[in-house]
Amino acid sequence: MKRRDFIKFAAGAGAGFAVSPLPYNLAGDLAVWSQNTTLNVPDGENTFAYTTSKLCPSACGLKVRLLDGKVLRALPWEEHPLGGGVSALAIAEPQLLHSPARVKTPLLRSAHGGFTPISWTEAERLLLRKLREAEGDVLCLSGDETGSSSAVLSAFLKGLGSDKMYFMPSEAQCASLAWQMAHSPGAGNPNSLYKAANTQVGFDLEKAGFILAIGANFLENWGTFIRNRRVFAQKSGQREDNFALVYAGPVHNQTASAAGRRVALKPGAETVFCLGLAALLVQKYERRLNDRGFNVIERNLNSFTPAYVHARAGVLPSTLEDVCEKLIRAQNPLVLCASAFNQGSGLGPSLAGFLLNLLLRGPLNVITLHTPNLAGVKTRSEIFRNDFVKDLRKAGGTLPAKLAVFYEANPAYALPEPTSAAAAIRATPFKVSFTPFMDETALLCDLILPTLLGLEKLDDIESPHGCGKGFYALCRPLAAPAAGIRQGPRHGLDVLLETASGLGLRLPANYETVLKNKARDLALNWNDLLNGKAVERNSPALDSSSFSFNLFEKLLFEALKTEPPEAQLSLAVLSRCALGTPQTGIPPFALKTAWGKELLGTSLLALMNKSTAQKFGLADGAEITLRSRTAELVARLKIFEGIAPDSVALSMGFGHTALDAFSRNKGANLFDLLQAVEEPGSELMVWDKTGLNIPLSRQTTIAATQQGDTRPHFEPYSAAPDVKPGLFRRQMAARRLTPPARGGIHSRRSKTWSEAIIKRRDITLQDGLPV
Amino acid sequence: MSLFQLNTAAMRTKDFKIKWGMVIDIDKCTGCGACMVACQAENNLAPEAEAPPSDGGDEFMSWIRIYELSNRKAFPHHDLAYLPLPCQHCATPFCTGVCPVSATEKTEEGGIVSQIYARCTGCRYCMAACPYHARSFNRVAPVWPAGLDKIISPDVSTRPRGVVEKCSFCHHRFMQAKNAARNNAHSIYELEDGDYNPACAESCPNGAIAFGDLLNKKHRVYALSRAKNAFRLLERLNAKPQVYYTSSRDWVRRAGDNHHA
Repeated sequence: MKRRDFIKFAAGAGAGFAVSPLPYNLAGDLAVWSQNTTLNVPDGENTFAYTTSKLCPSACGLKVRLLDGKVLRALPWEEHPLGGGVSALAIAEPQLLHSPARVKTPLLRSAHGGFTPISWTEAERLLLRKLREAEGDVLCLSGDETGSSSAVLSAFLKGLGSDKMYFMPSEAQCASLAWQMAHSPGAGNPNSLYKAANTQVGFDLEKAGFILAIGANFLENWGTFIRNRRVFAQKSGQREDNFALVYAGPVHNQTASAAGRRVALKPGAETVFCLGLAALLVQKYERRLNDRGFNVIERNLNSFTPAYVHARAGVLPSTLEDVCEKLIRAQNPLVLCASAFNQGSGLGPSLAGFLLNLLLRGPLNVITLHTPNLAGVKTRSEIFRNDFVKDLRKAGGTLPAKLAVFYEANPAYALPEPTSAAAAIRATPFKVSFTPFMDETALLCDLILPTLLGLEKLDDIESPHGCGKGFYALCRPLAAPAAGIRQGPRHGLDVLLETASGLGLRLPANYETVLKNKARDLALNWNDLLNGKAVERNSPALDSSSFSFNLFEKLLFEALKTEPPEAQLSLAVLSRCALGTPQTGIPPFALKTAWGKELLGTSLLALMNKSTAQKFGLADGAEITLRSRTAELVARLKIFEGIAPDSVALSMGFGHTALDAFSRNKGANLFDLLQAVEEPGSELMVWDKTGLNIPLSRQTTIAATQQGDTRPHFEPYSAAPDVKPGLFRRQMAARRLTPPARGGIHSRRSKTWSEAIIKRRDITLQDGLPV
Repeated sequence: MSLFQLNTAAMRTKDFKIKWGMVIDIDKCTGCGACMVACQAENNLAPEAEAPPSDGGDEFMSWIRIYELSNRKAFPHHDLAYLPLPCQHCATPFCTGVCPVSATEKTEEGGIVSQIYARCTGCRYCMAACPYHARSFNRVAPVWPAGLDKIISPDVSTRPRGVVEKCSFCHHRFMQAKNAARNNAHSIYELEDGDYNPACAESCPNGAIAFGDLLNKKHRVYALSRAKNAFRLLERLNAKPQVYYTSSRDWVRRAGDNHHA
């Protein structure tokens, strides 16, 4: 070929190429490839259903959006008695249906320590055999306070000859015990510590013109907090002159940031502050109660002078008097006194709160609870009297029974000294966990039975702690059980009830019958309830004459003898509903909300004010070791001025060693630091006052932590590397592993790539087992 | 005259008959995170298994972020406030002018600054230009692990890697509201207060976020945005955001104009 011919050919080829669609298609493909499309969005018909959230402790109302019958979104249901917005946890409820941590099939611990999937029939047969072998030495720990499940479980245990029915510790327990102790309808036996009334206190926020939250994180996790927020929004929105929210506590938390006024307290000084106010009310404003026992209380109150309150709680006398005056002037003032993290406070704060509310004639109601009519059933109030932490301590190294049933409870994570709890669970011969998620406790059990979430099952919610009036609603299956969950009984308790018939116990055939009977007893229409109707029942206002001050006085002032332990720092706890419950762990959506004050990378942040940090010669960002009587915890220091001196604040909800990649390896578990001690008077276990020290030699203590850390570190899903070094490197690694597609660059190939990446990250249990 | 003022002088303020806007009451916000979670669920943001960086950052994929403001005083005079920050939908946006491919525009009636993912080339000029750091960049393809894609919403497209994304004031809800108005033979230019509400405003349990037409006297935000304590962030830049904040605290209002920085 001559040179000219070659040029002609090249020019022709170039021109041909240019006019052909090839370059443009290639460019188009390149553009599409560079914008690697991810997932196609689905389409379908929208419908809406109304229900009450079982997962969120506030029991807020949900308007659930369904797409072709599948649950898609949880939206607020404004008209719900406990609604008015939606909590971050409830929004994540549809997402948690598909959580990687879901247990999908019954699992049995095998000889080599792993889990083997078994059928429901096998599981029931095994449970029946083990229950027979246990000969009534059975306990049950439930994390569901508001449902009828506890009644069924207690009746089941009674049938087996056991009284060991427990709830996970909570503020509801403290309030209920204080209420039972103080409230004595009619002539009760004065020697009996607790009265048998199956009632609870109702806080009529809607009537309140002034709310003083002492310790109670009123807007974030105390009681029915979504309703609390609605009331707060409405009252402050209307600019009611009389309405004010005042917060007293050791750390500037969520409630403090919205409160009109804040009073800084030393950690654990809630009761003292409350009694200081009561003393002023009695002495300065001559508020008294017509009860014989009140004279003794009055005598005791004399010692709570403003100077004493200043020394114990760190509140200036002028502030105390000012708050007291505001309370006197306000219309329907209401005082909420509780632990800032909703548990472990004992009777002290609740009793002090009752006393103050009675002196102020605060809007409190009496809510009657209804217990299903079953043979040997225990009421909610009766179950609260069993203190699991105390019995665990007494049993010494094992659980107080041969066979333990955990019903939607995670004691291996969420009890004080969880290491001891985990060791006790491990030392118990046979333990069963009814759980929707593969949590820390489930991993220690011999048999795991999956339960369904609130959007998948039929269950009920009755008067959660903090509500103002009697409340009853059902949650019902809006979604088919999430993909891969092996169909079993309609409710986890149906397994127990079937087993009960095998054991010859006279209990209803299934859980639905229990609920239907309860609705009938309450004179409520079953179909209305099934359609989502939430019922508020009339509850009478509290009559102060029904209080018995004899026991009241004894327990309240005894409780104050729990001195905070001698230590360099006091622990204040921050807690946020978005970070889930001990059972759910951190919902995937919610992890993005954990920035700023809670987590730095994988380190938990410890908040301290500058003057305190300077005392220890610590700078912002320093790694510190905090040592309590029980354990040590390594955290990063963050200077935060919204905390009382000589205190350190840590966030709850982190440090999971089980569940999914969204919860694991994030910070540390605060419960490790907490040690339960007995409250004088009530003998209830309390853990709201924790002293911390910063060891002098950090290196030594870190080494000691590693050696002394006997807590099992389970890696149930370790087959898949779900903890990755970084987003970008992760993506690169995934790309290298993807085989090159044949043919030109095409959008389909892009899709394949992304699918490959998704598959790689599809870190889950298949049939409930790691793959 | 500062560089910013020169820039803004060169840019035209976009005026519309309807201006969708937000008024966030900082005094009511407790930083609970419900708005962030609702936004992610509504707008198909993929979950991340890694904790976000402490300062947010460009790779922190969230259309609304909650910043914590401090009055920088020592205990016990310390005070803090939470500032939820979505895209400000500025009337004089810095981002639209710098986009070489018109992927972000402010042209539609209502004044919502759009983000058209199919056009975006990922140059990130808009991110550099945005003084509010309201934009995020998909450095990698978003991934929904282990079946979490089951709750992807049909209303919003998922985004590929290599594009910038930001708050759209839940624009799909605007379209739904307009469709509903058309179906009921109402004017799409006279939507009632509450007909169109983004996910964050809808879910806020404290009622801290109000949303509506800033120019319509019947809408709640009309009065709220003109109230004594209402302010906008970095007003001296003259970007004229359509997101207002209110606080009765002086230091919060001062912090809003970045005097603390």
